[in-house]
Formats: sequence, C-alpha cells, structure tokens
Amino acid sequence: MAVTHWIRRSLTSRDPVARFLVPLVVSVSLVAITTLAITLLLSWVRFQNVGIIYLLPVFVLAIRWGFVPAMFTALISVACSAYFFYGPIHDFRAHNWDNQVDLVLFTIIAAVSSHFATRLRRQDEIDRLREALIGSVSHELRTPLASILGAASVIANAPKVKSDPQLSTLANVVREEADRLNHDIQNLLDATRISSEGIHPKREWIDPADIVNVAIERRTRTLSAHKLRVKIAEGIPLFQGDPVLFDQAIGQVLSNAAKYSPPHSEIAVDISHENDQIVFSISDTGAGMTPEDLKRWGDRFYRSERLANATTGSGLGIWIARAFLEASGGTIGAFSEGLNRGTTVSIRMPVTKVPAREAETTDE
Amino acid sequence: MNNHAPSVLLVDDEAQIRRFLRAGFEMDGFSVQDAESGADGIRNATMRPPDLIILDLALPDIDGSEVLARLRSWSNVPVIVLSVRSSEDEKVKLLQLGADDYVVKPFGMAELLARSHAAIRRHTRNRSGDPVISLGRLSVDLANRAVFVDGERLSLTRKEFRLLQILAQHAGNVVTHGHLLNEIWGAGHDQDSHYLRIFVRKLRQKIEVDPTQPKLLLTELGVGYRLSAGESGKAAQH
Repeated sequence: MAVTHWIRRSLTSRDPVARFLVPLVVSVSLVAITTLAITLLLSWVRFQNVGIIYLLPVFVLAIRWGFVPAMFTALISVACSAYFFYGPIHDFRAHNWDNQVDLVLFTIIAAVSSHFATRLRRQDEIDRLREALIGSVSHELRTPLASILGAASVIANAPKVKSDPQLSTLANVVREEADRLNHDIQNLLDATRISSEGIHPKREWIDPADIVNVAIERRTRTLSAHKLRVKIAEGIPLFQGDPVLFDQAIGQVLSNAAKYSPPHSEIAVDISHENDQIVFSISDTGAGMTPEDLKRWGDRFYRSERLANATTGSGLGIWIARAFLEASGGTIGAFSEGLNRGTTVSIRMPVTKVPAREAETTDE
Repeated sequence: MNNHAPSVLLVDDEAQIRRFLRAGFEMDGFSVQDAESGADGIRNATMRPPDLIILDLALPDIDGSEVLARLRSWSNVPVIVLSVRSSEDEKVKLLQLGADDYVVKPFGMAELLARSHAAIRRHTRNRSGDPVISLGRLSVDLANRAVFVDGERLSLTRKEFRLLQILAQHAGNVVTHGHLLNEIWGAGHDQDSHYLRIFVRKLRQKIEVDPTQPKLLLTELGVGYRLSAGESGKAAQH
C-alpha cells in the first residue's frame, strides 16, 4: 500500500524530488528485476531476443509517467542487455551483428510504443477532465437559469407588459430561449451521467398512453408549430419501465421530429401492440434521411452535414434516447424513404406479464 | 377565500429566486415574507404563521426535508416544495412527509401560483367542510357520493368513486401512487401499482371527453396523479 501511495503522489506532486526521483527509482528497479528474471529464465530455456522482455518496464513507465522516463528506461535496458546478455558478456559492446540489429530495433519500438502509450494516457486524462467540467458547468448554469426563467415568467404576466404586444413577445422570447437552454443543459448532464455513472433504471408499471401524453405536454412549446396526431390502439397493455427515462427518450424523438420538419406539418404518434411488444412510432414529413444518415443515426455527436448548418443541436439527443431505452430493455430504430420524405422512429418495448390476481382488479 | 390578503413565506437561500418569487406573489395579491435559511424559515413560520410556505430543498443550514418535518410537527400550513428533476423518489418522500405539492426548477410563475392556490383552497375547504367540490366540468358531491360531468350524473363503482374522491379533495395538487393504493386497497398493496393504472383507465373512460388524451385526471410520471383544478385557479396559463 505504501508503495502505491508513494507512486500516486509522484504523479500529482509538484515536489521535484517526488516527480523525478520516484520514476527514476522505479525505472532502475524494474530493469534490475527484469534482468534478474531473464537470467533465471535463461538457465531454463535458451532464447535469442532478450530485448523484447525489456519492453515491459518501458511500457510501465510510459503509461505511468510519460515519454521521457520511458526513454530513460529504454536506454538502461539497452545497456543491460548489451552488458549482461550480448557478447562479449560484461562489456557494453555488442559484437554480433544480430545483437546490434536487435538493440537498434528495440530502441525504435520502445520509442514508438512509449509515444502511443503516453498519448493514450493523456486522452484518458482529457476525457475525465471534460466530463468533470461539463458536470460542474451545467450545474452552475442551472441556478441562474432558474432565476431567468422565473423572472421572465413574472414579467410576461405583469399587466403593463401584457397590454403591450411587443413587450410581451419579448418576454416570451426570453422564456422560450431559457427553456431551450435548459433542455440543452439537461442533455449535457444526461450524457455525462450516462458515460460516468451508467444508467440505473427503476421499474414501475406504466400506461403507454401516459408516457406519450406527458412527453407531449412537457414539450408544448417545442411542438406548438406542428399538427400533432396521436393514435392509441385499444387495449394497449401496461409495461414495466422507468417513466422518467421513457419520457426523456420519447421527448427527444418528438423534439427532433419538430426540428427537422417544416412548421404546420403533421407529426403522427402511434402506439400499437404486436407480438408481445408495445410499439411507439413517431413519424414526421420532414427532411428525411439518406442511407448514410440512417447508418450513423444515434451515434454520439453525429449530425447530418446537410442539416448541421440550418439547425442547432449537439448530436446527443438520439444517443441519449437510445442509451435510456436500451437500459430499460427496449430498442429504438429509424426508417426513412429518403431525402425530404420524412422519418419514422420506432421504439419497441417488451410487454410485461401482469401478475394473475384478477380478483383485486375487479370491482363491486 | 378570506377577506385579508393571503400571506406566503418564501424559504430559499438564492436571493434572485426570492426576488422573482416575491414579485410574482405580490402581483398575485399575496403579502410576502421571506427567509434565507431553514432556521429562519421555521422561526418566521412560528412568529407570523403564513397561509402558504414555499420551501426550497437545498438550504445552507438544515435540509429542506428536515425543515418540512419540523413544520409538520405542529402546523398543517400548505407547503409547496421547490425540487430538482431526476429525483422522483425524493419528491414522493417529501409528499409523504406532508408537502402539499412540488414544482421542478426551473419553473414558471403561473405553474407555481396554480399549485399554491390549489393547496390553499384545499386547506380552507377542509376547515369550512363544504361537501361539494366543483372543478370546471366536473363536480364531486362528497355527502351524497355523487359525481357529475357537465351536469350529468355518472355511475361509478365504489373504488372508482373512492379514487376520484381522494383526487378531488386534493384537486390541483398531486397525490402519490402510494397514498392512493393505501387509501383504496389498504396497507400492504403499495407495490401493486398496476391495479391503480387499470382503475385510472376505467375512471378516465367515464369522466374524460377523450380518455386517451385526459384533461381532468392527469399523470405525474413516477409520482402519482393530479386532478386538474379546472379554470377556477386564478393563474392563467400562458
């Protein structure tokens, strides 16, 4: 434990002794251990390229401390193999042509792989930093946003503003844009939550009609320019799922339908029941998708190039919806006949068997 | 309701939130006092008991649910909680602790005012004991166990009536699944929420114009149901 603590400190400490001494000591001891191991190994089996085994300490140093310590390790490894294993033994020269090639190759491989290992480590650090940043920024943004949205709603309702059509339009602009910003922040928060903590869906009984109605109700502003047609087949069974995740997922699909289809066009929502599955399908008559779009639909950050300039968005919505649905045991898929021929998104959820205690549901 | 202006106590540590809440409630005819910590809130509620309390959950000194529990130990003043999304369980817990309703931050003033008026109305109705609850198209006569939609009497089964009765008594405010299950089926049924879903469907078939798009009996996902208070609320939707 003490050693791991000591190593961890050397990674974060600003103290030069810890930062330089620790990797130095680790490097020398790992090479010494490797040399010993090779010596022992050679007494059992005979093999030529001992160099390759020295790559192990080099990788450890590259992943933990970066390129320079790794190259230092490579250097002492070359020295050790020349001194102990390549003739003349106990001499830093290597007379054998094979051995010379071996040492040069070793140095090149060590340099290239250390370079990649270091980059991998940096990328990992950047990813972690980015997630932490998004999380805290979104949280910090939400507090003032609550004040902006609340204040705008008070202003919009004030008699003086209500009697002035121009001012009331402006007050509503503030409100709507704050609403939109809130949804974007929610998406960022959801996305970071998915990749950092994973999703832990709850299971409770849901009436499919309820989910669709609530998802539409919560997005009245987004959907206000479109004609909504909702058709719910009779006798749709209940299912088990996480209502909050479903509301979010269906809401994302509805927002997209509104975003990528012209105002006043129709968005159709159908709930049907086929082969032990409940199917929610949401169709628009808008921009549609190319086969290429369909293939990448739902990828994180994917936005079709045709539409990226004309509309705003983060490319997270469908990715989040898919993550939420799949965690709940459902699926989501898109279908389009081609450009400008609309899109249909289908969400499928297996029907849960209702426990057979009919007596309780009958009524006197 | 009463002759005097209703009073509201705002408990929130964010100055800007208190500011717009104060403006919104004053514009609606309330007299407003505010507190920036849980301890202050409890003190104010004791010294000048308000008709309504708006309680933020994230307070610097005492947890909001603790403030609520302490208030409920001696007062049944209506309390609306300011909550954040992604915590349906927390909302249910607060409602069980005695909160009358919640709004999710960020929220618009109209929504908060509608919930507030509903909670105050229920409170005054409980004291006056008026047996008829009128909610737009719907009216529920508790004394005669009769329900009318657009003036026409409905025939409801006993459980359907009980469900509607509880929701009507809380009209405009949310009622949790757990509370409804307990009241209608008794203790030990709080996990059997599919019964409730089925009865809500049956009831909607009888009271709604289009049962698939309910306007009266509304769903609060993951929490419970809310019977719309109709147009009787002062706050207009905008």
